[in-house]
Amino acid sequence: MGGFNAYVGPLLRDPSKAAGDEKRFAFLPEAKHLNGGGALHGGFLMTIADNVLGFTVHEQTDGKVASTVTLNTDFLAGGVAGAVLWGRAAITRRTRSLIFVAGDLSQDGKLLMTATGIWKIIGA
Amino acid sequence: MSGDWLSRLPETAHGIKVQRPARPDVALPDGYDEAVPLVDPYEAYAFQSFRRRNADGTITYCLPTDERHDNSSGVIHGGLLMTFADSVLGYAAWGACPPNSWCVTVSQSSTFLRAGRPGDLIEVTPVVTRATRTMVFTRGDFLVRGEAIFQAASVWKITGQ
Repeated sequence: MGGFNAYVGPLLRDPSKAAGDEKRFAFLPEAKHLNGGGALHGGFLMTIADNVLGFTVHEQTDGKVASTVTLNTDFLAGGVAGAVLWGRAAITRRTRSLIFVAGDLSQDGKLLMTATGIWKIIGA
Repeated sequence: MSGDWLSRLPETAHGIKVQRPARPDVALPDGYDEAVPLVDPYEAYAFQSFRRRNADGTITYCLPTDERHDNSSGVIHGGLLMTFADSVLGYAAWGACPPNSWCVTVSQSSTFLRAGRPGDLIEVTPVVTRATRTMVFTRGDFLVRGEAIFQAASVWKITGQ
């Protein structure tokens, strides 16, 4: 992964887990991912949600590229640096050109963000 | 080139330490007066934004994108756009909060209209759609060369001091 993903930091994936499984994705947030109040920045959480949901989408596109059309994110609780942020996502519906996906991010057993999105398969 | 806006960044804003930008060499875009004093480490790491006050009282913000913001296929990463939205809609929401209170994001809806390319200048004039005693509703259209590439709407919860 290059560009912004590499710049933000490594998102890890447990290869023994499948779409929908808890704790399939992991990210260890640092001080640079915080806001001025000392909590994980909302933009950071949305960045990770986009990647967790987007990776799950791309398992269903037969090698084609899909891009985010909508991403709706709810902020349930604040997160901290230094504790693993866990992510999971599952496909809710697939049409010829669209993929609907839902997921969440959690830390220390607490739900921080729920997210739903729609991806468009480019060229489909 | 950049030294001017950088040297004019205040030490604190809203009583919080202003972060030094990860890239201090971003040029001040034409039509903008000053750098936004970013207090969030993640924002200062991800970008530097600039602003101007318009005659009608609104504030227009811009973000000059660079190669950091590439999603590795030549397109601006959605995470950057959503982070910029959280930043500028937050300024609008904070402006609508009563004195001695602040607000946190409860929900953000993001819509991606077309691809942006690293190097594009993204511009937005955030709007407060509604403010109640406990909540603020905000939205913004994010433009590149006058065309909307991204839209965001968010809900903020006002928190007492």
